[in-house]
Formats: sequence, structure tokens, C-alpha cells
Amino acid sequence: MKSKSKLARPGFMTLERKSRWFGYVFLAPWLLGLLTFFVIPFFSSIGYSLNQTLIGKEGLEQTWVGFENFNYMLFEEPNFVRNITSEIQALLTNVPIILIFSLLISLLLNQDFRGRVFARSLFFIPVIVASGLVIKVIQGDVFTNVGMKSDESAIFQVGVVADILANMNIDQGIITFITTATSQIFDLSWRSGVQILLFLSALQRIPVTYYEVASVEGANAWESFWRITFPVLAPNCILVTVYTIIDTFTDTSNTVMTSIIDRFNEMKYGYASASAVMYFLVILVILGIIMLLFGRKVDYST
Amino acid sequence: MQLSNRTKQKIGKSAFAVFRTLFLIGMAYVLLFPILVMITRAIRPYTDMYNPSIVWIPSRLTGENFAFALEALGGWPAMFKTLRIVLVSTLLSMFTCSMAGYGLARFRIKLSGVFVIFAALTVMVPIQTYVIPLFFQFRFFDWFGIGSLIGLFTGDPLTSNLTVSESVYYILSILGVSTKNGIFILLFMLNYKSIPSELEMAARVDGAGEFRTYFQIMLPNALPSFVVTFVMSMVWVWNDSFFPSVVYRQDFFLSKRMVDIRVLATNVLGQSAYASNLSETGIMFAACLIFVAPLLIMYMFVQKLFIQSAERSGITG
Repeated sequence: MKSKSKLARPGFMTLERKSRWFGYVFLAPWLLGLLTFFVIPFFSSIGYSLNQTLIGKEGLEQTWVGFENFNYMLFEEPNFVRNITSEIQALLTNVPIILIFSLLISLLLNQDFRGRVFARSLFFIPVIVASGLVIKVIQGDVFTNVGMKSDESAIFQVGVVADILANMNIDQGIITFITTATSQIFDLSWRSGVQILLFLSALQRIPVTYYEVASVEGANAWESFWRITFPVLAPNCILVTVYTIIDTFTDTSNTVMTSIIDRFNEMKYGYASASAVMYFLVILVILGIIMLLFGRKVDYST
Repeated sequence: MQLSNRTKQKIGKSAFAVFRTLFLIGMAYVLLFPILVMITRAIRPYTDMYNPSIVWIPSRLTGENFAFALEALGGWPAMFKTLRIVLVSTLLSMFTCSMAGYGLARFRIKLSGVFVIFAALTVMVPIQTYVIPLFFQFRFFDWFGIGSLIGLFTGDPLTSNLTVSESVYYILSILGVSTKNGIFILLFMLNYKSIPSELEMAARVDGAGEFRTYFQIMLPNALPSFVVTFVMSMVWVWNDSFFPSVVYRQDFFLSKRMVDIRVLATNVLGQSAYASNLSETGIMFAACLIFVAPLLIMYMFVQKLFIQSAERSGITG
């Protein structure tokens, strides 16, 4: 570095130095925001978690308690650890299913067929409508069937199918699997909207000429998928996995999040911050494991 | 009978097309189900609401629910004000996230790896983790230290209470730290990385400066990311009810009203003489429809743009 700057005339920037400087110009607004509205509040929050933080007459009143909040949360309060383990268990089954489902759907939607514009717009509708707010109203009415017979307007008449299967003397385990799988299609398609979007926008960046060349060279659809489509999609696979995990974990309807929000509403800021920080550490560890397992295998240069 | 390879392929293709059509029709039902439910519940009169023989088609149509729902949501002014906040902050987010993504993708910055991790962290850390300090920051906002600096001279630090001002949204978005902006930055980064560097080189050789290269050459190539960012940011900011209920404390914000829609619907009904002819449920579903309508309309327009931009990038790429 030093020798380079000696070589350069004063007031003259080498291309590399100039380019680095301009990089920071492009990043400046975001870096300012990152520092002010993320890094500083985040570390204050860690400070809160080590205190008993209450709102008094003159703003926040803090009493140092060390790791008392964490201790209480992990070893005395029974719910926190139990909620987190059940969330992780749900995640392990849901993430691969969502990943494969959204990949298949996006490949299907990327094909050339009549009405594909309409089909695409259909699959993104959950992204737009599936806010927790609206779903809560719908679920409150439809899925619990207030004032209605149990399977009246539920999405699939799973009960009927289950009855028929039971009459055919099919094993109860298989019936439960079928019914849960069908009732999951709704959940699945409603949680895969963004993931499909991410995959599709990547698929559309692949030039058609690649496939033309491949087919001229005699590659079949299977080969061109693994040789062309998949390498391009691989970075997006990780993005989608990470997104799904974060989306599930930060979903305000999951049990850990509801308990954190409840503590906030009870104004137990110290305890709420402690559980939020702990929860974040758990997310970080899980994502770290994912990155270690899959991150290195991806060639980002494509 | 011997089938030629070609006919075999043809049969396979059309069989797949049939399967695809059937599958998509099935999925269409699943995907549209909630909207259908909302519509059928919103347009039915009270008498049909708990009638088990009526599932989809009501005995008569009624628009009353919508009028009451709009009132419960705060009327047109609330709708337009919320829409303005969401739209402006989305546009600001797009501007900043694209710049940051470009900065990360195209410049040899030593810390860029760290910055990428931080972009991911802003999405990973739930806002609930740091919302209380964030609230206090906006309650006593010192304009990035400038207020405190003035305070050194006047003895009284200059702070503003921004929790009642919509500039909270604009400040967060112009700085690229609004709802889930980290993911947009990463999206732009991936997009800019995929653009061949020869394009940039050519622009430089032709004498374009850094900013001109960015705005004229790189930006148009990132159109798919812009469209995706626009749609997703609109949706997330519009639907986010946590931020407006903790930091931006204004009652008109639509998502915040949607949280208490049951109470609001009951209140509106209580003030009305028609109360006996209406039900909360109908009003709630009408409110849901009104709430998602702006996003659905916006999406209808943007969808076209999305396809167009995809086709264009197919030719140039």
C-alpha cells in the first residue's frame, strides 16, 4: 500500500484506489444506516439483556443483573427451551420441502406454455395476500369453522377422503400421512411465494442460447438442467434456504416470537431482549451450520 | 406398431402438457382459495353468514360490508396516507439497495465480505431484538450526531421526536435499513455480479465516469432486481404491523388497524342503526379485501413489467 501511494503523484489516484474510493461512495448511505439503526441499537439491546430494564419516569431505568435474565430463561423458565427445540424440529422438515417445491414450481413456470403469464401471477398471489394479518382473519373463520360444520368450507375435504380410506382398510399411519400431506399443500404453496420468485428471477437470467448450444451438442433436458440450470441456481438455493429459515424464525406467529412480543408488552424489556438475543444466537448457529455444509460447495464465479 | 423416436417424444411432451395443466388448475384453487373466501364472505348479507347450506354463493349480493369496512379502516385518507408512506419508502429503498449492491459487487473493497455478512444480519436479526433502542433513537433523534454536536455549544442537545413523523420510514429506507432491505442488497449484488464486466469496461473506455457507468449501463441491466425489490418491499412494508405499532405510533396506518379489525368492526357496527342487519364477520372480510386490494392492483401492473424485463434481459444477456 505505502509503496504504491509513493509512486502515485500527489492528487492523482491509481485506478485501483479510485475504484475502492468510489465503492465506498456507493455504499455510504447504507453504511450510515447500518451503523446508526442496526449496529448501535443491537449492542444497546445486548446491554439491556444484562440489566433489569424498566421504563420509569425519566426514560429507561437499568439495574445491572449480569446473566440473571439468561439464567432464568434457560434453566428456570420451562417454555423457552421447549419452544425453540420444537421450532427447530419443524424447520428440519419444512425447509427441504419448501426448497424442492419452489424449485420445481419455478422450473415449471419458466417453461414456455400458453397462459404461463397467468400461472406465474397466480403463484405470486400468496406473496401479496399472505400477510399474517389477513390469514389470521381467514383462519379464525374458515379453518376453525366458526358456526359451520367441521369440513364445510375447509380447503380440501380431507375428512371425507380419510373416511373412504379407512373403509378400504388402509393402515391408519398411511391415512394420517396422506391427510397431513394434503393439508400441507396449502401451507407449502403459501410459504413458497418469495422462494419461487427468487428462483424464477435467477432462471430468467440464463441466456436461452446456452440451452440452444447444449441441444445442438446433443444434451438432453436432464443433462442441460444439471450442467446449465443448476450451477446458476446453486447460489440461489442457499439464498432460498437461508431466506426460508429466517422467514420461519422471524414469523411473528411462531411460539418463540409470540413469547418475546408478549414480554415486550409486559414491559419486561431486559428479559425480552435476553430471549431475543439468545434466539438470534440460535438462528446464527443454525445458519452457520448450513453455510459450512453447503456454502463451500457452491462456485460463486458462475 | 413401431413408434419413431420423434412420435415418442411428441407423445411424452403432450402428456406432460396435460399433467402440467391439471396440476396448475389444482394449484390455482389452492392459491386463490383465501381470496375467494374473502370475496364470498364480504358480499353476503348477515342472514347468510351462519347458514350452513350457503358455502360459496350468497342468496343476495350486498355492498354494505364494504362501506362499514372502509370506515373501520379509517376511510380513504388513511388508505392514501399509508399508500404514500409505503410507496415512497419503497422507492427510496430501491435506490439505496441498488447502489449498495453495486458497491458490493463491483468494487475491490477489503471489507466487502464483512459488509455482505452485515447485510445478511440485518435480515436475520428479528427487529424485535433491537426495537426498544431503535424507538428511543427516534424519540430523541439527534440527526446522526449533529444534534449532539450542537449541544456541545448550546448546552442543550438538539433532538427531534420522529416517532410521530412519517420521516421515520423515509430515513430508514434512504439508508437501506428498512424492512428486510438486506435481502434486496444481496439480490442486487448477485444481479450486478452476473452482468459481464466487458460492458463496464466499454463504458469506461468511451469516457463515462463511475456514476454515469452505474446509472446508464448497469442500472438498466438490473431491471429484474428492481421489479422484484419493488414488489417485495411494497408487500412487506404494507403488511408490517409491528413497526407502526412500536416505533411509528400513528393510528391511521392500515396494517395496524388490521390487527384490531375485529374490535374496530364492532365499534363501527355499534354506532350504526343498521347493526342488526350486518355482522362483524362480513365487515372483517370486506376489510381484508380492501386491505389487499392496493397490493393486488399494483401487482397486476408490475407483473407485465416483470415479464417484459425478463424478455429484454434474455436478448442482451
